[in-house]
Amino acid sequence: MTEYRYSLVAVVAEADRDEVNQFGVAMGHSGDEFCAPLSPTGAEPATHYALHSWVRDEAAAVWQGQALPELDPASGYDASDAALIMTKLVISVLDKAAIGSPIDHLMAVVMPMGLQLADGD
Amino acid sequence: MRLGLGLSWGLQGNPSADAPPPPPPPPPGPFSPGDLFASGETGGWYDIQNLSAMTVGRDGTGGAPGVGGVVGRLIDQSGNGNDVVAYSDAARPLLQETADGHRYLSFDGIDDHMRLDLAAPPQMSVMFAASGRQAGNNGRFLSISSEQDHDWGTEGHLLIYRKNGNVLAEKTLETIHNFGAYDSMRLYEVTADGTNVTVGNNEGSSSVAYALNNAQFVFGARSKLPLQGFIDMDFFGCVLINRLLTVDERADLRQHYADLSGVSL
Repeated sequence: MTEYRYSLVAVVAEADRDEVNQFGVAMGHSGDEFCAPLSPTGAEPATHYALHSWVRDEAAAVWQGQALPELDPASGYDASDAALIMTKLVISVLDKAAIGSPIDHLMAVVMPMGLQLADGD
Repeated sequence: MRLGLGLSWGLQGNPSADAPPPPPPPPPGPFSPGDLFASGETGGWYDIQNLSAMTVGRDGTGGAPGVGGVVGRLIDQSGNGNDVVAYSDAARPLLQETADGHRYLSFDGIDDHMRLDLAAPPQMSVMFAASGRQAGNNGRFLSISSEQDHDWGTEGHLLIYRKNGNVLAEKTLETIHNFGAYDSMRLYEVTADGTNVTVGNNEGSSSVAYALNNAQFVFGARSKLPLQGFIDMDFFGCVLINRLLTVDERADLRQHYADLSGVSL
């Protein structure tokens, strides 16, 4: 088993969230992987959602577009769909040792997009 | 009770002076949180030190995690079957270990959280060992929420606070609408009709009683449903049990989680 040595941040616009999550189900994930709300002001409503995950080499390659995901054949999705889904995401995969903390990694991705966490607190 | 025992002795007669003395009771073994469930109590017990009580997959598959790997499920060690499950694959925390061998789950403060849907009894105590790494979370690690109306008020929410902003062996429980950044140990109780009554003090108690029909415990989130405000924390273990704990039991639990988290009380 390889190590979980990559930090993954992915961001999706609220309008595309359901579609991306549905594709995630075809990959064997839950139907709600993007659950960190983001907005320009830090207040609700969220305009985007993010996920952060620790991933191994195989998953890092998929998220970087270097490999195709394994898809449930019954889902109706194929490789061309994967490419389309990738266009709806802002993705960053970095070595764990290079990110400081996961929040540092997230901020480095979303701040240039004019977004911040909308943590509702 | 004493009268009954005396009568029993009288009926049986005094033991012979030549009979060997009864063996002394065995010395008590080391405390385990499992002892608290010896009378069939409901709730859950989750210690991160025990690798066999965790799996990589949220559905219980994938085997025990390795240090540095993700954890999808915490198996309830109390025997009640109340496993705590990561909300999604991305929400799985990372299993880590301190230099001196204390294992913990590292929640990323972005989306990592784990949930337990529990048909909560009228009373429940919670002991939670965690350490916060994020300024501004006010020491909150665990939310207890309900999506249904009940007698608590509009949000139905309990939060746990940590002690003095330090790495902690325990925390306090705080009740709905009372989200101040407390830095001392307090004990609150919510009565059966939902009235908030303070019954504790600042000596380090950590039990709460509440009335709630169906609770959702969320490890790693500090805000109400829909969940927001995820917590950047290190989690060492937790006990949820359907009764108030005695002073001695609380002391044992405090020491247990101090040991697990490498904290001196």
